[in-house]
Amino acid sequence: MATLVLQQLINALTVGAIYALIALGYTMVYGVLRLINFAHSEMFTAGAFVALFAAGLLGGVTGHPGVALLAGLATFVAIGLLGVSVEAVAYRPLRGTSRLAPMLSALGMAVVIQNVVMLAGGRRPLIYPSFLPRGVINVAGAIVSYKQLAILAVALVLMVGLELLVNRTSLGVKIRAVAESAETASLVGINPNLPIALIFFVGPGLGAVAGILYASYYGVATFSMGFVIGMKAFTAAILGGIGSIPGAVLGGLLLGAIETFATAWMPALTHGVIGTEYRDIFAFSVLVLILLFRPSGLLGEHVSEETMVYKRDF
Amino acid sequence: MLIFDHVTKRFGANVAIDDASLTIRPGVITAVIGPNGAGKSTLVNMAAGSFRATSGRILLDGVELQGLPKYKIARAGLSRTYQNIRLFDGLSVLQNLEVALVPRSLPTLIAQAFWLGPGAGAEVRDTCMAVLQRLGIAHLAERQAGSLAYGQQKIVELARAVAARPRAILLDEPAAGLNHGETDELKAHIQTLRGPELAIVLIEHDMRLIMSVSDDIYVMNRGAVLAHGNPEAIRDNPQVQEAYLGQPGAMGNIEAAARGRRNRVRLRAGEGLAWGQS
Amino acid sequence: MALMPIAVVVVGVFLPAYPLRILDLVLLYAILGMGLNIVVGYAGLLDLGYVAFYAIGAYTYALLASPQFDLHLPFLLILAIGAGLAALAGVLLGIPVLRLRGDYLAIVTLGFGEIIRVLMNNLDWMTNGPQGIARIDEASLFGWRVSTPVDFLYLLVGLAVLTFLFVWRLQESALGTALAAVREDQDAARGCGIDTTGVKLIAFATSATIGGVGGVVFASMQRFVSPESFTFWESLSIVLVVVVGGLGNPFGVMLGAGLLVLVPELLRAYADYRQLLFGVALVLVILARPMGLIRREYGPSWFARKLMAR
Repeated sequence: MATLVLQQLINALTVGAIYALIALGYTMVYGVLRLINFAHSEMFTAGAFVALFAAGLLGGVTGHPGVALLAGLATFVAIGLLGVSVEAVAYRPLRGTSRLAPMLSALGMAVVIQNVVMLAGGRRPLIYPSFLPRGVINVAGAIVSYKQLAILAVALVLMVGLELLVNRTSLGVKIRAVAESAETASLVGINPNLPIALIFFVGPGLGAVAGILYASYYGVATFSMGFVIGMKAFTAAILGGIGSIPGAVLGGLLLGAIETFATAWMPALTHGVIGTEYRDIFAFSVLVLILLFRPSGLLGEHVSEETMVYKRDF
Repeated sequence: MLIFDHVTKRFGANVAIDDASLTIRPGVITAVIGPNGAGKSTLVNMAAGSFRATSGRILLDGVELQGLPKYKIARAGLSRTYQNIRLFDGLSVLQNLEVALVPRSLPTLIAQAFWLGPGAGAEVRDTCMAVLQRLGIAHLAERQAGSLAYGQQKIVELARAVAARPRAILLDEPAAGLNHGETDELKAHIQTLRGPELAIVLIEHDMRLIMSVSDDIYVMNRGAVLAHGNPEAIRDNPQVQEAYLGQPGAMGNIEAAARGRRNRVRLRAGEGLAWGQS
Repeated sequence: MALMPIAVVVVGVFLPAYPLRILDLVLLYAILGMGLNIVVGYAGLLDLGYVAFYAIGAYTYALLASPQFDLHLPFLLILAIGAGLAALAGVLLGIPVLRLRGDYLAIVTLGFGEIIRVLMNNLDWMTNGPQGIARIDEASLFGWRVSTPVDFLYLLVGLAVLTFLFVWRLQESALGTALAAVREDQDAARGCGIDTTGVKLIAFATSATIGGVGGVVFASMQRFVSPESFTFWESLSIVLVVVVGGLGNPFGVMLGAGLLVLVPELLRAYADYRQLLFGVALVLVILARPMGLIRREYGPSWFARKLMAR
């Protein structure tokens, strides 16, 4: 029993770390622009496919650590640049208009990216060669794969890097200033475009790496896999408190845990009425419950309406 | 009558309002002044329902406003204008006023939308037009609110606040951003609001406007009420001079303004005409 | 204006079967678009799960008028039940979300649409899962059997006219004013005494009701339903109908419905690129004409004034 719980905990942590990496992109964009970046989920998908392409250029041996690292880096940069261009083309011209417009634009970009991936990578699920090391170790009876350890390690490194970037660099100060209030920041001479561009580089970059990890972990990639994962990651961001970077990490890990344990125990608890096919519904239930009882999330500050509501709420 | 009864508001360790008691009587214009950070805006926002006081009561004609949602506070008879104008930019001026007169009950709204029940359209329209007429901006009725000049927008916001026939009205820095001429126009309009039933609160920095238009003044400093009295008494109060005005030189301006007031009252009748022509 | 539906009927009656079916589809999308427009165009809220209400309507008809449970209730009764269930779902979904900021609605409705689809896929005992429900009854109205595309043309034109008149009245009524205020500045609307949560809930439920009605008609038209018809893509298409045609303008919605149905038909040969083109079109329209092809001002009231003035 204890072993089973330990096993599930490790599985939960792995999935949660991937959710957290994606949630970071949602939360940073939302924190600064108050925009649900629907295109973000497709950065995740595109990341998985671009990495495969990059590995192909590097000789095709995805399991080789050097190839994996280089391909990962190249993907981070490529998708990061894609993110920056999407912001410049589709979001920036709409800044300061109604809030409906950028969301619709983001939705359009999501459709565009997803279809480009489909046209390039095909409609059918792709068997994904893993970029992660193979093999397993036994920890107190639970089986931990090197894949899982690698995912946790990569996620940890990226999160620490982001933490340093945001809290220890002058660029990070600018990001936080713009997130606080773009207007005030511009009064003290901060051009908001630079920090915003940086966010649109880092967020999609992290999402892309999450895509590689996810596809490597499960061994498949489809052009449409971003949709559901994206919704879950956004739920994680709200769960943790949207706009909060530690919140996104906590939310991701928690959601991973809720989902893993609910999927494992629900069928037994409900005598099979609720089966594993409802896995995707748990995340949504969490979302609605959070919105009902604690809309500011776990780590989000309770913002008074005065500061939250903009001239046009929508 | 709008009453702040021993109201205290803390933000964390910060005391924004410190046991303030104010009584705003109907029929007079009550100004609340004080340096930046004195708590004037906090007071307004608290009354309008943006946040709750830590302790104390806020009563409008005997009804406790604390804890009511914003729209219920508005329905209780409190309307307001905003420091930075908040009109419905995409709607016409007339529509902006009509919003204030939307029927309160949801069933009525549904019934009207389904062609049941009487459509009160024409009546509401007439009421709104009358208000616009009174403020001299009837010719702007069909213009899009967002396309108007700043000064005009301020008057439209005032009109919207009045349209619902409130029992108390909070004017949050109405003269901010206006030039001298526009301020004088605004003053004339504030004067016309005066009625036996309506309690008017004026939050302002423009001493000239305050001294010339208000009947009763509360001076706030660091969240507490420092002084209370008519303009002359406030002008002569040494505590106010020291705490709020800082240096003795500022006093001269106030006196000039107070003198100017008497002159201007006589001019008032002519002033209302120039509005909207800019 | 009254001539338009008559013109549609006259033209429709002489059309061959295939274009007639497309015309029916345009009308159906126009009805759905006018319904969704209440939430997106009037209240300024993004609903990305409209298809859920459509699906509720469709499955209501499929379950109550087919051999599935051997129930064969009359069409009109099911129309009322389907509309009622959709409205109920709208209220239940709206209550937790609509008191919050508008953009949460987008993500929650997106999730809700998916949930409904997952349920339809998995509640095999009820919905037959992915196989769907076939052999659905023919619709009949007071003894009039609605079965051929021409019959549906009459039915859809009638419904479209009713919907059009209703949303026009709604927009011009005090409720429309309240929704416009919510769209422009929610907080200031509250300051004017508007129960913003209440009016948004009415808008959401009304919109859901029209979606449910559309679903019932859809099921009676296809006489077959399956989860495949109710994907996120369908929701997005209806959003596109509204956004491309003209936010807050029923005429725009009709134009949008026409374009969204006809263009893909014309581009059949390039079916693989269809969604890509839709995505590009959405971004371009938002960037170039954020209010859609026909602006809000040029709605039915403007048109009526023009006619009167002549």
